[in-house]
Amino acid sequence: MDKSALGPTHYIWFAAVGAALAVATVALCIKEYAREWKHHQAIVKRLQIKAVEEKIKTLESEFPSVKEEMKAKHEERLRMMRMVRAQVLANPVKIQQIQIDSLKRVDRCTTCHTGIEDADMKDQKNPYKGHPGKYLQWHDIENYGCTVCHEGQGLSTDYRHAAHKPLRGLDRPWQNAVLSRYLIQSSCGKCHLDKEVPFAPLLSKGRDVIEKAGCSGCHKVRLYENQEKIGPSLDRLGSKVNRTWFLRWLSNPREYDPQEGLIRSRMPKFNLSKEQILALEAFLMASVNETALKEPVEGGDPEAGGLLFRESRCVTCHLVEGKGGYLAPELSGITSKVNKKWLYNWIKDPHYFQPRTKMPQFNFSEKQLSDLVEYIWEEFQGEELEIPKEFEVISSSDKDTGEMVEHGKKIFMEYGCTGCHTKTGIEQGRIAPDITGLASRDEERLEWGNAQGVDKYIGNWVFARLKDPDLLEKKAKMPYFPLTEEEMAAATMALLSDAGEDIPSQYVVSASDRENYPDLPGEFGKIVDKYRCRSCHVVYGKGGWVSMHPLDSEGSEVKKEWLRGYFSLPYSLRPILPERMVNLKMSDSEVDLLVNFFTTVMVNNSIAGDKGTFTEEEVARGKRLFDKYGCISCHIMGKDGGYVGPPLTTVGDRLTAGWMFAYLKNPRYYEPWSIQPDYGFSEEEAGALAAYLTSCKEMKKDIRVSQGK
Amino acid sequence: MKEDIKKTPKVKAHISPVIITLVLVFVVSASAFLLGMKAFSSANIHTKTEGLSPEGQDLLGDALAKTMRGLTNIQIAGKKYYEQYCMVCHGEQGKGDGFNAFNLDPRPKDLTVVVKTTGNEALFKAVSDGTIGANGRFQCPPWGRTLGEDKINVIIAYLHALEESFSRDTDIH
Repeated sequence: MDKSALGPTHYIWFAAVGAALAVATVALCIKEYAREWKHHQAIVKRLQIKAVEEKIKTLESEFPSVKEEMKAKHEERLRMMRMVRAQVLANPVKIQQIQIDSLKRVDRCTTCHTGIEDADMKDQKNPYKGHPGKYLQWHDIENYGCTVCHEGQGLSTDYRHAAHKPLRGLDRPWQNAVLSRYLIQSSCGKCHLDKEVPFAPLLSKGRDVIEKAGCSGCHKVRLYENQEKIGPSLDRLGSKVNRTWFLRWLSNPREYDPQEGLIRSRMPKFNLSKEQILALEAFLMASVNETALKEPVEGGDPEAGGLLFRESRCVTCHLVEGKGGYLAPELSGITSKVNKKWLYNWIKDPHYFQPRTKMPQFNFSEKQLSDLVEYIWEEFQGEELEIPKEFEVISSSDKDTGEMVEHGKKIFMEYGCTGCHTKTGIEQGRIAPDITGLASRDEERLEWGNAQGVDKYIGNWVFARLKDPDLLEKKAKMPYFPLTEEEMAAATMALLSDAGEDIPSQYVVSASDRENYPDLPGEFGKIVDKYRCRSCHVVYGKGGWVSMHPLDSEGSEVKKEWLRGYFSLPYSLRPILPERMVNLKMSDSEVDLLVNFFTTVMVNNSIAGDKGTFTEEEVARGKRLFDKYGCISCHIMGKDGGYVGPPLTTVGDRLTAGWMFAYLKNPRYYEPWSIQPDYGFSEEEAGALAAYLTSCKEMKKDIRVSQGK
Repeated sequence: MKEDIKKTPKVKAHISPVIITLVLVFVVSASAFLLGMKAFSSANIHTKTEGLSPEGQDLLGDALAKTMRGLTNIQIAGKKYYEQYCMVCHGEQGKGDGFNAFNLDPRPKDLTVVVKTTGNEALFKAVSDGTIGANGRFQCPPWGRTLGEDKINVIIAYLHALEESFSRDTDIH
């Protein structure tokens, strides 16, 4: 047989391979052609047409019953609906792509989510659903796309590769999954750099927590690089605290102040062994300065001291048995913390011992001081603290003090205590890793430690570090912060708002930089510094931990005599607020200076001030308007009224008519945090109301306002 | 003679192979065309999502779901404005028992009831323009100029979820 001739088996092989190739080609073509996004687009189109047809049907059925003058408009709407229908029908089935050059992103999400901009589709299920809320109106899709907020892989056109659900494993096609539910608020933080972000309350809360917990003391955090240290200076600690108290404090700060959440004592709990605590204690308590402390005058009267304590409203900033302000430490049990000599010296001259403290320098006389100290020492008697048992055994160590102090200093620097506390002689940078660009960290390369059962998402890693530092790293240097779960989650989200991306400036939303305001000059500045007005109030852009009331127009707002009286004896302006201004016992000359400064400098030219007279008719009209608008629901007038706003019974003594007029017409401009509604008053109405309120004085002798001074 | 003996073979309707091929091609193209036009798409496309659920505990997600009590993002934004502007009279749970409620006559409305009986447009109008009582006086002040349309809409969204969010069991199952 001729070997070169092809036998039947060869033909069969040839045919089989050819057929297989043909089938494979056809199958591949069909697979490429039959994409899932085409299904979705077809369905969206169908739903849109159905919605438009329904609208057309209702319009057509309404047509006979439409009034003559509306017929033209009706015709127009019908015509537009028909055009929309034709347009939707004519839409080709193709890949939809949004290319945003400035953000360097290409998003093909609208290929499946075709109905995203359609308001009629809001009731459908995903992916046919229209976008909820007004977010697309505030961030139009042509300039923002989708993935800058939602993350995920914008270029993909199928469900899995778009990372709708997280993809895990080192070889995963995309790292950042589409953000689920609440986590999208962290994306708002990419461009919105302010603390208060509208419509993203979790992000705002998280940023508040980061600021109060002082994360930027140890870590570099975006937006908080220039934050001041949140802890007190540790100089002279040996003259201040009781040794036993200090040992217990270092082991467990929450014992002294067992409150839930961050707003109370902020010191976190470190993982220190007993030897380390003793060494630290030796190092810190070695700083003693007895010469600066003066001897307290004995023989104070606790009752007078108690009166003074309540008058001075110390609870505005300090806590007493869990109630009060949150700016300053808990006072009950203070005797177990500090010694009496220190307490006396501290109240006498706080700024000498802690230059950055928020506590004002009260003008107490010697007698008042000793009364107060005696009262505090009696009233806030703490229990006799015992050295914890573990320390007793090691106390008798054979290390000499010099060595202990050196060892303590090493530990002090190792754990980066200077992140929150200052100490003369020790300068250190941030000791903890940089946490900018947190959202783009690769989860697979992080150290997960004992948390193997946790889903490997960067948010979970950060949350675990906050909630239980031991979970991820045994004997971690990072301490445990006393936050509630909500605060931890919010802080995690705020940290995740930094993806290390360079956002172009046209997208960034941020208030002007008010951080580095100079110290206030002149005599006014000295008084503001002495009495630490900025601890409570915002004075020229800085401060304001307690009061939301802007002082910039105060001179035009209040009457001069009232202001003088208020500085001498502050009282509660709004019954609903627990805080009120402390009684600083300022001298007459200081009060004079402040009152003059306010009425000369802190004025607003757009307010008429104390000028103008009012007629009886205006006052009567104002009273009628006061009734009509139901002002008494929130303000007290006479015998009854609501507790929301300040009482208006004697408001004519306090506020100027011009300010009341301006405020009623535009409340939020003068008082951004008030909830006074804007009624849209006309000039006459606001004028009448101002006339009536000005007549509400302590002694209603004259209903005509006299000419200003 | 042999042809006579031979049986005449049955005359099959001999369709030319070309015709068969053409018919086949036509059928295939037609079905491909219709498939491409998605004439058979149903609304229940089963997108392949198996094997993609997160393995392991989602600490952050669980914590957020628990503390946010099942509210959506829009409802949380509404909650913030509700607490700032409305809570003082209408109360934390909307029952009309706020701090200031006892100074008011008539008492503020129980919003958990109102939201079930009033439509969204009427609610929006009530919040935006205020409500006027029988004695001709304003009860709920007009918040339209103060809050603006967007904030009122999110507050209304929150009101719908208000009652449920307080009665919801916050354990994660």
